[in-house]
Formats: sequence, C-alpha cells, structure tokens
Amino acid sequence: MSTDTVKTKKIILRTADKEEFEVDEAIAMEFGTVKSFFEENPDASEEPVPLPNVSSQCLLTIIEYFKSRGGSSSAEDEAKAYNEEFVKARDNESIKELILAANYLNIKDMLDMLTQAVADRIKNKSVEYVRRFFGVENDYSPEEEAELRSRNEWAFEGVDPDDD
Amino acid sequence: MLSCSITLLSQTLKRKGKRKRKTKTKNKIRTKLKINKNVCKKQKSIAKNQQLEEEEEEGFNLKCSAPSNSHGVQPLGNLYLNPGSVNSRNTGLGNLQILSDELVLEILGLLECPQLGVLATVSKSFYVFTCHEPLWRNLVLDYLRGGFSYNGSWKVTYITNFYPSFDVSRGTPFSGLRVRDFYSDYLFQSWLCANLEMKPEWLERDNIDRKRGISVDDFVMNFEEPNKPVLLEGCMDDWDALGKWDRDYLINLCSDVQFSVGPVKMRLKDYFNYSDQVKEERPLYLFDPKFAEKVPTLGSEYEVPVYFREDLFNVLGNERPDYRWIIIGPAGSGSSFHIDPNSTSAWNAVIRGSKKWILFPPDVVPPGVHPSPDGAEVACPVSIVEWFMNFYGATKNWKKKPIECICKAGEVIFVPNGWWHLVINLEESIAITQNYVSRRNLFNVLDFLKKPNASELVSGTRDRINLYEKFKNAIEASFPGMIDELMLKAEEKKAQEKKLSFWDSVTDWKAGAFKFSF
Repeated sequence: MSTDTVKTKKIILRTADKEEFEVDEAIAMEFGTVKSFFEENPDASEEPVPLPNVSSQCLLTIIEYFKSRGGSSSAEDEAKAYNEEFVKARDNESIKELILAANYLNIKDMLDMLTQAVADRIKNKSVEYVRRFFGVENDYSPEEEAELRSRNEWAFEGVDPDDD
Repeated sequence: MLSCSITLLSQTLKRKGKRKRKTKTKNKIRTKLKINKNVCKKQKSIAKNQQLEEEEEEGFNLKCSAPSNSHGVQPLGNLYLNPGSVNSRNTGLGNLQILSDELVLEILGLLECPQLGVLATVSKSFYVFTCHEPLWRNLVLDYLRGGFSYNGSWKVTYITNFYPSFDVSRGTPFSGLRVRDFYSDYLFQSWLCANLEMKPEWLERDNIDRKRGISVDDFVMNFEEPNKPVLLEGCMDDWDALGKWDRDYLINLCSDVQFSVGPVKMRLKDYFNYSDQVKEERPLYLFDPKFAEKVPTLGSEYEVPVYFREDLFNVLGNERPDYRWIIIGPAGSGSSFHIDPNSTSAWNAVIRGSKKWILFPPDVVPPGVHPSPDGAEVACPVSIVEWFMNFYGATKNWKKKPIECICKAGEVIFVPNGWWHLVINLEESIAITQNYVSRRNLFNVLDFLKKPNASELVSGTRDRINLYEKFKNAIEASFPGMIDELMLKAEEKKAQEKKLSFWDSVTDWKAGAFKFSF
C-alpha cells in the first residue's frame, strides 16, 4: 500500500443534520457500518455515505478521536493512556451520545471503551449516588426498598457511604 | 404468569445480532456468552408481513413449568395499546433510557456481582435489568468455570457460592418482585424464548429420504456422491450404547469425569444437575471431543456405521483434527445454523431422545443468517427458538425448501459437506457425531485447507497452517497415486458436464427449438 505523500483516498460521510465530512479511507473503514456499506455497494465510492443516526457533533468527535489516536501501530500503553484522557474529559451526556453513535457505526473498540467508562463511573457507588448520576426516579415504596436491601445485603459491603 | 394475553405477540420481535465465529470448534453453540463483548448488528427479517399474519392467528404455548421470572415484563407493543401508560423501564433508567436494552445490558455486563446487587435497589427498572440471567451466567462461568452446583437460577447459584452464609430463602423468593408498566422487547423476548414450547407446525415437515439396510455402494452412489442428506435406520442395532446408555448408566460409569460444556468443563453429575433445572434460551450443551480418551468404555460401546468407515483423516493419526463428539443436552439445547468445519461430511447418531433437524444446501443461505464474505464468520443473530419464531415461516414460501426431519433414538443422519444445518433437542438427548473425509470429498477438504485464510477457518486442531501439507503428504504416503487418480476422474467428469451444458445452452428450452448464439 502507498506510504506517506501519495494522496490517500477520501470518503464522504453525511450525518443526520445533512453535514458532510471528508474522511481518510483508513479511518472510515474503522466504522463497521461504513465498511459494510462499501462491501454491499462496491461502486459507490464517490457518493457520500448516509449516516442518518449520527449527529455532526458526534461524528466530529469520533473522527478527531481516531486522528489523534494514531494508527493501530501505536503502543498499547499510549493508546490506553489516550483513551483514559478522552473519556475523562467527557461528561455523561456526551458519553451516552457517543455510545449510541459508536453502536450505530459499529465501532467495537470504541464502544467497549465507552461502556467501560460508564461502568467505571458507577462502580462501588452508593444507591443515592447512582440515582443522582442517572437522574433516576426511585419508584420503590419505603417498605419495598427496605425489604430489597435486606435481601441484597451481601452486595452492600465495600460501597461508598451515601453522601459521596 | 404473563399479564398480557399471548395473542398480543403479533409483531416480529427483532433482536440485535451477535457475531459467532464460524469455525472455532464443532461446538457451534459456543455462542459468545458475554453480551458485552459483542457489537450488535441489525438483522434483516424476511417475509415480515407473512410472519405477522401467522402470529396473529396462532398463539404460543409456554412450557407448563414456566416460571414468572419475567417480573411482569411486557413486550413493547403492549405499551401502545395502553394509551396514557408510561414505561417504567424509562423512568427507572433516568438518562440511560435512550440506550437500547442491549446497550444497558452491555454496561451492566462490565460490573461485578455486588454492584449488580446495589443497582437492583436503585429503581424497579434497574432491578429487572440486573436480574437478567445471562449477566449472572457470565459471572458464574467466569469465576467458577465449570465448578458450580446449579441452584435454581444463575443468580442464586452465584450468590450461594460466594456468600454461603447468606440465606437465599430470606423473605419472599428472589424472583418475587413484580413491576408494573415495564415494557421491553428484548427482556420479554429473552424470557419468552426460554420458556416456549416448540410449536407443532415447526415439527411437522419431514421430507428427508429414509433408508434401511442399503449397501455401501448404494449409499455412495445415491447420497454421498450427489451430496444429499439421508436418514439411515437400523445401523446402530449392534451398538451396546443403544441399550445401555441412559442417565443412570452414565452416572455410574463416569459421574466425576470432566466433560467439555460450552466454554468450561464440568463433571457429568454437575452437568445433569444443571440440565435438570435450567430454563434458558441457550442452555449450555455438553459437547466433548475427547470422550473416548477420557472414558474408553464409551468409545468401545459404539462403532462407526459401515457407510462411513472410509475416513481419510485417519492417515494423520493423533494429529488429525477433532473428529468425534459425545453430545448431551436438555430439551431446547442445540446448534444454530452453521456449516461443519474443514469441509468435512458428518453423521449424527441419536442414542437417547430426539432431535429436530433443518438442513439447507450449500448454495442456499438460511433466512436470518449472514455469513461474512470470506466465510470466516457467521452472524446468526438469534437463538434457535427465536429463529423458529421469526424465520421458519419464511421457508414455507421458498422454492428451495430445506430438508427437515426428526431424528429419533436408533437413527443416524448423514450431513453432506457444505450443508447448512440447525439442530434442536426436543427432549433430553444423548448422541454421538463424527466428521470424516472420504474419497468423495477429499478434494473439497484439500481445497479448504489450502485457502489463504486457513489459519482462521480451519478448526479442531492447533496446527492450522500446516494441516494442508501434512494431510496431503500423509495421503500420498498411505495411498500412493490416489490423489492423481481422483484428479483424473474429476477432470473426466467436468468434461462430461461441459458437454451437457453446451447442448443445454443451444437449446431454447422455452420454445423447444434450437438457437444459434454465435
């Protein structure tokens, strides 16, 4: 394959809000959905690929992620560190949006990273913390909740105290 | 019991897909247990409208022992029939609600048991999600591997093992909490498939050829050469296994022997303990390629039926890929659609119980199945029961109907190489299956092993890349000249076929007249 200065093939992606992004083929092929699109439509190389379930904001973030991460040749430690930084900087809302986008685009590694991020954020947290974190309405009656806690007592060792 | 009437299931319940490696080992039902490792792929269901019509007329039968583990979960369609109803799934998930059920479960799949227990008390919606049995099954298999004593459910099994001092019967039973107004297709479907009886109409069609006492030459000429499935009767009559092998006999013989069960190994008695109690969509299946080495008596109580005795992989001796398995499983266990590895043919003999088979020829991909272009992966998104619910109906209207049958104790089915097949046990079953290579499919096998991506596709051996060379050399050593002879025959045959097809092409079959095309 061509190395550096030869012009790399670009693929155009069109988001839900009708914006078009020109992306290196190498990056676009990381998206399983795009890859399948070309496998099923081998003659479609000049047309923009429609991605009706992804916003331009999300797609931009994802493209930036791949550009800055470098190729898969980068060392595992570096990649891991980069992932941690990437996730740390995002708020829950944005992670959620990215999860939906990564799922739709079929980007397995990114999806794994993002779901792990959510899991990490709620590990060992108290019930109240999780309720606040997700904005969840508690629909247990006090009696139900007490009973359930007693049934699940085994789970409550090592959990952060409630005012975290 | 279900709070909605069964006839409301008049919608095709779609499931996101799971990728399966096509040729890992023969244990095709080794579906990836960790939901969080799979990226879901939207499946395209065919004949959707026909399916809808069918389902509106007929309901589904549940197993009479179906527990109410659905916690009152209803399919999503019910929500739309209940105007003004709010889905407690959503209010209880807070801002996670926009994620699909599968994505929520992926996140939960990354958590440890105590966290799941804590989350259960966050809201009723979380309770339902964290009770999802496959989550607990993954935890059990990850941490206990095969060394567990199944105790009613995966969740209880895990807790009794790790918190032995905790009294699991405390208060009302674990599955007791019922939630109102919780609608989720994924969770409902999961429960439904675990508890559904096979519908009689799925079992009606039986169009396989059945033969008794035919000669080997007959078999080769009429079935092996043309690559056609057949059900053979009477060729197990001399097997000790047929009269002897039942639960009690096997327990007496080898209850403590570890057998391969999905991703783990279990003692036979622990496996039976599990299979007696389990109610799930994809039960673990005992599928062991070394049973005769582990328990030589088992190997001595059956013999290869006379039709399949030419097995050229024998020339590799101990280096041959896995080729024979004992298969034990409860009703509902089985293998979803796959093609057997290494382009081999197979036979499957039922010793106890019965199996429903569906077979499609090599050039007909079954509905709902998506092989990758290189053949290395087969995405069969749904479980066996769900395949029947969503795709079986479509086959009624296809010109190329599948071959179907129920194979009972004492019967042997021949699965020609390259054929897609799906098998489901209709009751607890014990069977033996072997894959083999005869002169008829030698070239297919050599071609397959020669493929550039052999390292991914070839299965049942650690030595994938060299298998081609080894096998070819071993054949030439044991049967000098065989390959050349077969090559000659194949070329003659091709020449014959070319001749025929030429004449086919110059005849305008519609008009019955000749036409010249040059």
